[in-house]
Amino acid sequence: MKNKRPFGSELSKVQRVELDACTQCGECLKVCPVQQVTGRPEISPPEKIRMFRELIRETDGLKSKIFGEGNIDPKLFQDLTTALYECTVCGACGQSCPVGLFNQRLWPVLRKEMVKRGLAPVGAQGDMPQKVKDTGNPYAEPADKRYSPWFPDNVSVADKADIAYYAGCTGAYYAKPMVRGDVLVLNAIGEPFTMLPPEEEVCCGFPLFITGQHGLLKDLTQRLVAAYKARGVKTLVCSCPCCVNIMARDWPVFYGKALPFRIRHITQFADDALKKGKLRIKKGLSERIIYHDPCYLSRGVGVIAEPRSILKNIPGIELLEFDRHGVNSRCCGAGGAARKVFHENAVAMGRLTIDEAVGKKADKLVLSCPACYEKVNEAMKGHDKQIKIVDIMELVSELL
Amino acid sequence: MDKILTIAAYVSCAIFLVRFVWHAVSWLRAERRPFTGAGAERLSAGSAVNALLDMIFFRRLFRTNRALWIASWAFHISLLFIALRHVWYFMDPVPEFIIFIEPAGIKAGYVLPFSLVLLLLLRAAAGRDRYVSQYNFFLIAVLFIISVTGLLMGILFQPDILDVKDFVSGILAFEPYALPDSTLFVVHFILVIVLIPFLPFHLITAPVITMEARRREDGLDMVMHEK
Repeated sequence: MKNKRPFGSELSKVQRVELDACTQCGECLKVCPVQQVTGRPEISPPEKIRMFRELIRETDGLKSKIFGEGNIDPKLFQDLTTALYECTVCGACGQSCPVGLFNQRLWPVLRKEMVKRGLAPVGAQGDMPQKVKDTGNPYAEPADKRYSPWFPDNVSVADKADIAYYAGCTGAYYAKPMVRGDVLVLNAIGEPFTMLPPEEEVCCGFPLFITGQHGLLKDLTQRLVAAYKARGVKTLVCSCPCCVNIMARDWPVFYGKALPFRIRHITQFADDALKKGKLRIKKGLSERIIYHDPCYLSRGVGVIAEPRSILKNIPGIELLEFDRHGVNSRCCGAGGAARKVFHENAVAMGRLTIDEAVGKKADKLVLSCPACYEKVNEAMKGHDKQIKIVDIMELVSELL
Repeated sequence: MDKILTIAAYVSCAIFLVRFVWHAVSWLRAERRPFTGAGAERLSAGSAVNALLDMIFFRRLFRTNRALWIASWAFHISLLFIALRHVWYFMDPVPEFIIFIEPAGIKAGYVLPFSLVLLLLLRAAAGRDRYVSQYNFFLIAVLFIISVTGLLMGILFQPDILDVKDFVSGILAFEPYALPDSTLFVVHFILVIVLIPFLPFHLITAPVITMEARRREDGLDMVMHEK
């Protein structure tokens, strides 16, 4: 394959240096969830970096500049594409990296490089941009079903308000108890909040970003930011870790300047309300519960203390921790948009989470991510170990 | 032989320099893309101190694998002292600092081969030797032989130190001098010039990324906890 753009063109300066900084020590394999369920070293983080370096050498190395670009073995492209897309992009490898590579950001950019060369994405991921263009969400679900199946009847939404709630596509269509809980908690806090009409609340761009398909990101960001700005929003609240991640980290880049509002995860907002006395948990719960940190909430944006603070506010509860928690949490299998393509891996990873929760004798497994919610519930089906799964706001809303 | 090895030394260093410059240009040529993320934009004084400690003491590795940390840190620190001690052979007069670290440099000569063996054993014991690239094995093997030949020259079969200094100084001054009459030295020297072109760039880039990781991780709290 010949292409005038050398490999690595999409990388920033730091990422270019990161590629050369990997010592290939293999320490990351100990924490890679894909390695845990597949045991295939050829799709491991150091292998991805080694293959990518090889492609840079082949297309931008000194030898290729002197003697011309040779014919690259198509298997190398195929192997790298598989390795990049089978990954859940959870970033645990970077967190444990003895050098400190920021892999949660590096892998999506390498994926973007593969997309630009027509080598990716894989499977159903390729239809996402068109689905988002046609329907506003990556699942091609109808806009009129975005809120109606779950939105509580007794809750009203303001036309304009300082606070806005963004439900997100995965939550709205596949984790309905979760987004319903969000709205019930927001309502209980008592401050007016606004929401965009369902046809205007389009995809935040994360599924496109994470699969390397960046074509629509600027447009989506600008549409959403303009819509919230027009409603006078000062704080945008969302419960999806992937959405808040792209909003906080990337929207300013695609928008071209600082956002006119701040981004808050629902647990941050609810914890603040609890501390200020605006929200009160009245009922108790005599149960052992275990909280799973979503990768893009903990490692991604550092929201770790607030979910725990909320849960500790529930009278009678005993809060347990996974062995790997906080910034070191283990992916539940839902990450990286890999769950739709590499379904078996995702289910196996979800079962590791379930098994550990059951092993610790937890009564409930508490989540705070719609993708985790969907995938771990799916992993439970037909599994020999069972545990009650609940979203954190779903749980809180039942105790108000 | 004298001339061949002298020319080979120049070629070896030239290859490394060309490789390095080519890589450095590729780093500089990469686009300055906006950093996707809020959080700390610059390294605070506290983070800078921590970053320095991370780099010097490999604290990230210490967190993930204590045994590998011992082997790896012992390897790097002993290699550093040995490299500094070798300045003795290049400079006249020898700087005070080099004379000062000489005893540590000699002890490091004993530590280096053991640290390399420990590194290999740890990889094998972890069952992850499949993940170590052939390139890494090659580096470790070459370094091991260099360290053993160096150690043997230090304690058992010492070459004429003045001949060694004249030979090495001659290369640096572009005035070739006769090769010392020591087979161990010849093997040691050949392997060093074989190693130089293959030196990994992570020697330079890993500390930069470790510093960047500290800045990023210390700034994580500011991504969504800004006022």
